[in-house]
Amino acid sequence: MNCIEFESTIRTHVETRRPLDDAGLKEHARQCATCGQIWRDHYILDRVISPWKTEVFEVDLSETILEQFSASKKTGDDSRISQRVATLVVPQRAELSFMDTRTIDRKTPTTAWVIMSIIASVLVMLQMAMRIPDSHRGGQPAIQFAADDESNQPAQDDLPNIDMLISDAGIAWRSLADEAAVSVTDAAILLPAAARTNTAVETNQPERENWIDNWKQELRPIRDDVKNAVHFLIRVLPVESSSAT
Amino acid sequence: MVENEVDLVRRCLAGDDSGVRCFIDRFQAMIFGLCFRMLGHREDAEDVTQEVFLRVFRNLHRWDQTRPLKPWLMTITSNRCRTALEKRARRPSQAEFIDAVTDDDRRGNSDELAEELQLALDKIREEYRLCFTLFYLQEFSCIEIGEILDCPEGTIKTWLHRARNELANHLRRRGITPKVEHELYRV
Repeated sequence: MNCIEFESTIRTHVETRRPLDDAGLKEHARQCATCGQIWRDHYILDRVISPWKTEVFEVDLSETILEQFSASKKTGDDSRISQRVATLVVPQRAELSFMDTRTIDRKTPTTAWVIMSIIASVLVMLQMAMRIPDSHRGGQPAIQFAADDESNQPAQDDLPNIDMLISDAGIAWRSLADEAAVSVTDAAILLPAAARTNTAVETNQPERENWIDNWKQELRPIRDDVKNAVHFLIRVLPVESSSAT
Repeated sequence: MVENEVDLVRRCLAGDDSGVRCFIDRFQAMIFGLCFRMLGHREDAEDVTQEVFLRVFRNLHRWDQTRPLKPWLMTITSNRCRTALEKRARRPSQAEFIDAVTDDDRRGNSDELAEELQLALDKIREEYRLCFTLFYLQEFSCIEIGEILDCPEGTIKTWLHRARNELANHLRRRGITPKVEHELYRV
């Protein structure tokens, strides 16, 4: 046995409380002064710890503690103890469900924002749909709105009441339309490729079952549609709010 | 038959006085033992033991019943002992506490050895003392002590060995030399 093995054996014996092979250790301790000292220290401690451990102290603090406990209960410090009995049964489950709720709460604003954005974009599309027949009624093809410059916009007199509302909303509608376009694009990214196979234009990319990697390319048709819609709105809607607002 | 810890705690939480008394009776020796080893002074140990129990009863609803109760109690006791030691460190002298331990009752050779170890314990670092006491007196493993003191197992092992080394040095300086030379050369 060398010094490293000697020390390691002592350490293991101390940490694990396993019995010690005295003979090998003693032999090395006799030959090495440093290890001899370690052995002596170990021996001293073993001798001293035993009576120290078994020393018994008579103590009875029950009455004192109960008095203090009753006093603190009267002051209301511990009134909540009895109220917690029911919750003791499944405290972990309760905490877990609370954590889950918080997690959901953190996620909710994002989800709500996406849903609201989709609703807003649907409303924008409805507005567009309502305008197109009107323009037809006025004798101008709908597509001309998107293609023509600002001088070709329809006269305000020809528009129904909804146009007045849009006009009153002013610049806010433009930002809403922009945001709706962005949100629709964001929401579309979350859709699996399989769900969009019917609407997406075929590409040279092989079909994949799961999420698509080259989403920019795949979503180009949707993005163009949204972009057209937004451009349409930007052209149609006034930049400034009317005096009504 | 020893009552289940969870049932006992439930009785305490329900405000059952007999449950509270039973709880105190079951754990006071263990808590007082650690306090006394840490503080080296009987009255201080009693005060801290009372504080520990009151704190335990106030926070009993926070105990995770899927884990053993004893380490949780030891964590609270350790913290209260540390606080008491910090308070004591701000006081002018510590000599009286050591004297109180030495002079109170010397009852023979083994008791003297125990007192010598207690004296030596008072001189080592608080972390070492706590670790040593939990390991030898309460017989927790290094892993369990790590959980109680919220430290890695390796740190606990280091503290344990340092505690042993320092205690051995103190004992040697105090002239505690068991017949180890004889033992060593007898084989």
